[in-house]
Amino acid sequence: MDLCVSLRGLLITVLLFLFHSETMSLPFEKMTSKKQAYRIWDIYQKTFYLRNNQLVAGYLQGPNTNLEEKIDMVSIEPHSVLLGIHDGSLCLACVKSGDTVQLQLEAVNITDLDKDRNESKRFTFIKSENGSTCSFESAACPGWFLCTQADPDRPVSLSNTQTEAIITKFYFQKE
Amino acid sequence: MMTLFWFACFIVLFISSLEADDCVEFEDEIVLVIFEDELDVHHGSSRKFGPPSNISWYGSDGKTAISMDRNSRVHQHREMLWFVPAAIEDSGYYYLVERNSTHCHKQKIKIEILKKHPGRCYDVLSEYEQKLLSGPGGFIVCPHLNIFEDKNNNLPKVQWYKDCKPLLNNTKFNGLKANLYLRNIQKEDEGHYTCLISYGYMGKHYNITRSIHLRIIGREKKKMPVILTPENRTMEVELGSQLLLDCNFTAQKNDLQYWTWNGSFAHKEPNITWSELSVPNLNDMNIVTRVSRLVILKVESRHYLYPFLCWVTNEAGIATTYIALRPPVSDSRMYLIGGFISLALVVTFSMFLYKIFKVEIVLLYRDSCHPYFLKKALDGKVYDAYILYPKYFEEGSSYISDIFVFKILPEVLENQCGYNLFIYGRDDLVGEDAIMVINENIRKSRRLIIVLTGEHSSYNWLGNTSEQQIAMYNALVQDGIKIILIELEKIKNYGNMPESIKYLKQKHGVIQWKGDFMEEVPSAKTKFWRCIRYHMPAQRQQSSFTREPSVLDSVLNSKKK
Repeated sequence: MDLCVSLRGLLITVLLFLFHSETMSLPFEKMTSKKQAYRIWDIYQKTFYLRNNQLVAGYLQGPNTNLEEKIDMVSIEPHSVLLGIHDGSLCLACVKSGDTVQLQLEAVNITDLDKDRNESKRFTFIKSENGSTCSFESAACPGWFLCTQADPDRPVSLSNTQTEAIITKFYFQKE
Repeated sequence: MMTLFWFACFIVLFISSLEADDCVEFEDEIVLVIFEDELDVHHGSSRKFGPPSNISWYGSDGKTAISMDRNSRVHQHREMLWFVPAAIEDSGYYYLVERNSTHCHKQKIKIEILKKHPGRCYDVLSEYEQKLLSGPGGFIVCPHLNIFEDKNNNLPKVQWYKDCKPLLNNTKFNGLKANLYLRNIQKEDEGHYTCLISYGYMGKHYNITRSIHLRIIGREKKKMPVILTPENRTMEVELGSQLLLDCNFTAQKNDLQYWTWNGSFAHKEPNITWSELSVPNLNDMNIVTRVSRLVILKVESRHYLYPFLCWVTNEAGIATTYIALRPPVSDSRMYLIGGFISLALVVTFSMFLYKIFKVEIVLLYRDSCHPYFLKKALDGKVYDAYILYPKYFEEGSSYISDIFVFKILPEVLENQCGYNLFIYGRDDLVGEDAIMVINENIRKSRRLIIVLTGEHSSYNWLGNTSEQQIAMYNALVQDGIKIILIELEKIKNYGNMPESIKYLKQKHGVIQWKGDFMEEVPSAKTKFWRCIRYHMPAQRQQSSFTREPSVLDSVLNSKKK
């Protein structure tokens, strides 16, 4: 009788153990801040492309459309993002020198930047959404927004003023 | 002479070849596509060098300079290459050479001229791709027209076509310079748009067109994300333990989910991992139930400071829920609280018990610690109590108080309990000055026992006798000796009593006599006597001052007479 009871107890323990391991092995997929490619174009339909190693915004005709640069984005905070091109190998950075603020393309891996917060500051942009468009303010240079010129084929840059010739609103759509 | 000529020729050739070789050549990746019979202009990419530089265009061999004659169909004007108009045979490579005093830059540019097909106003090769999101309004733009602006930045009128049909300015489309504004964008707005201007050059008008392929990026109406579990809550977690936080929510494609802690992504924190499980909904394939799991490998004290927030967002809105962690109330703290509560209970209970059994406890204490009082009681006093009682001068009316004062009181307090009492009329010597005796003996007493009798007596016993006045003065003013009031009969009305008695009754209360006056040997163990003993000082010695009952009797008898 005693043996019977202890055997039943053992069986329950084994079953519980098996069930436990079952729940632990559910196919949970590990998540991280993923790099995602986005298409970016300003509200006057200019797309980004590289010319003489400089990021410019303009209109690309038929055979040139494959030159369009897509933006690789990594969220490092709920509203802070890193922006890069060429699969995240060239990153957009705000570089201050004296009174001038420049947008620079730096050859760093976007996923490496995510690891060091201080180092990544100049690469960080605060992304804000307004209806169907987005704006990107540099975290290292507060008040300076990613912008294009009204004239085509001009460099993508940073601006702290709002004029008709400066466009800071972009369509930003996942690929 | 001849040799000199050849040498000069050689030098010129050498310099020209040097000049040509000196130029760094690049091929522009951007191809320009132009329709035949249309006017167009190529302005090259932006200048490489500063303003004091010279720009010239060359044909496909890179050597034949493009004519500067504006009447020529293909010519250079204001640093730009003009096709007035373009012809199929113009297709090919062109070279733009920019030179300054020290540098030279040569750019190879491909230009393609497309044949026009009757009835077709666009060609995929010449189209610009533009995109708008369905929903509110947006612009499509007729590119590269600014060269045709006049001095006042005015463009010739832009004609717009959609799928080769002219668009009229209406509530849907609104042309502003080179831009066409579309309101209330829908999927149907997708299509091939053409913009056209007519431009006058050298006295003739030429058409310039651009074609745009507009794509509308559909944004299906999204439902608000819903977090199923958990609801906002606080949970107790042991420091250093492992913790799983699950956020269960329904989501559509591309809905974004993340966890935050202290304003940052929670998975960025050390020792925290983030994983997700998707469970497809069999009824609606667009909606999945997802479980986002945060694993905190080791709970740290800082994790108690801010809650963990689960966020799910899409275009329709944001859903969020929080889980705050709290250290469990530790066992030691529980014991401490329990200890305090039980201590408080014990104290209250003891005080309650003391209140009820105060008299018994004090008496028991005195009995058990008797030897110590012997030393303490050496205060120079002779008597334990001075007995103040009504003195009746009428025959017979003295019965109760006299029995009590001369018989019962000494029997119990002196004989049984060992107190030493001073009773005027018993302990004073004949011929002594009454006031002197009273005054001295009250001072020698530790307590003043005042015996009160019933009010039925017309005798105002404490009227104005000198004994009473001295006693009161000593008790209340001078020595402050303790007073014990004993009521032999129930006194309902204290109105006739002197103020001092009323005051004492109010302050100390009275002890009601409960006993039999006729009892031969009254017991000190009754409640009344225990109460009196409680108010009396601690006895010094048991039965040290016993008196002969015969003496008492004689006193009583003499009083009766």
